[in-house]
Amino acid sequence: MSDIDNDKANAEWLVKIGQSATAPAPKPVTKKDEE
Amino acid sequence: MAQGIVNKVGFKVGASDPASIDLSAYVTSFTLTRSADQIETTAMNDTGHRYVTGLENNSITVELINDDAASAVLQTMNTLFKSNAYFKCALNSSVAGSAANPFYSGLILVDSITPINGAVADLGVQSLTFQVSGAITVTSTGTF
Repeated sequence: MSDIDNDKANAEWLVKIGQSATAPAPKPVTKKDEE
Repeated sequence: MAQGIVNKVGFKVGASDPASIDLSAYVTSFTLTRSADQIETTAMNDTGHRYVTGLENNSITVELINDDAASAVLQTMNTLFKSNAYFKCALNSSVAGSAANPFYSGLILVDSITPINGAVADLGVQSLTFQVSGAITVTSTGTF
């Protein structure tokens, strides 16, 4: 496995276990939620 | 450098790639162990055991002065605890990467820290061993 492939595999694995900066951002709080 | 003392090791960690929190100034001891599983392939008519390598199984053992400043050891390790953190290390952080000074990077599982450690009047330190998650990337270019 090349170094680039290893970096990609690490990033993809972090997404898979739910620990990644690229995971979807939290849903913004709406005015309705605050009420 | 051909032969020399170990006094310029670089060690960075962080929650994102590339690791950006430089803990080198707090490192008093550092060991990167690169290892691979040993798979036996011995078969009939072999006259000795035969092996090939399997998956990588690497680890880092580091002793850190437990500085409690922001972006220093204590707060960084407390933040990274129970996560897979990016790391980068080198034998000499002050010179460019080369075959003689490659940079090693990847993920470590921060599953054990010692935020409080020491007897009365001791220097506070964290003596930690981290399992590497996945393989290690080795690069011979760029700067630390």
